[in-house]
Amino acid sequence: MSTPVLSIPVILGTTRHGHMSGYAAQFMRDQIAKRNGVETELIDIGTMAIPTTDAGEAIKDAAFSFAMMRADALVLVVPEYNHGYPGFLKHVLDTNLKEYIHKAVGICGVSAGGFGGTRVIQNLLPVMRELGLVTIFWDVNFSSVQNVFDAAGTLLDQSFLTRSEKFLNELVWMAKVLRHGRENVALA
Amino acid sequence: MQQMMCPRCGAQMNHHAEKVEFSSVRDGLTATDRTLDGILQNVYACPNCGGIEMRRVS
Repeated sequence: MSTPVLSIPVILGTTRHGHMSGYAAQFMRDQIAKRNGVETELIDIGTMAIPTTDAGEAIKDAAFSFAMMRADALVLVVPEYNHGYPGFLKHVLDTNLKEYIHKAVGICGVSAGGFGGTRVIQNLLPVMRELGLVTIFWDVNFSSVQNVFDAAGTLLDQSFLTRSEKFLNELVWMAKVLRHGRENVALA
Repeated sequence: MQQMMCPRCGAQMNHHAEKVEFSSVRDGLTATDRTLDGILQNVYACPNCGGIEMRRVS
């Protein structure tokens, strides 16, 4: 379970079909996969059959919980819906707690407009904190996402290579530090 | 503090956090739980296998 390799899954935080967020999530997964000493996977919450009639531990998805336990950091790729985050994403995230504590998280906002999901990122920050996750200070903002990727998902705006690199440099650093802390530094 | 041994590999786990778990469960709350308005949990990580455990603060 615990190896020198860092695990950084990407969570695609929407259930809607035909979304461009999927391209953004695939792009982030591919950028992580290029790094030595890091493994990743794409977790699409749209494929998860979690009941909506209960909450928390009672409806845990075993595969998702295992991925969260194994993770050293998370990347959330989240579209902005009416200035907020998709409700099902919150529902899914709330099914776990211990799996998140003292782990790093970075958020990528996605929007068709010019703000790049800045408002959904701001709205997610207190949620991340309450879940015990540690947020980094870099974001990736996929503004006007229809201009960032073509209809086949090919990256059109090469600046996102640099943006994602800065974001991931910080996330990996935080993931390493927090892993050392979780495993070696006792609470006073 | 009582040591926590990893239920998966038997190694001694590191206690790295206390966390209030906000839950609808209200049975058996301690005075501390009521003060914090949630269930106070100790969180442990295993340096050997990466396992994670949470145990209610007694």
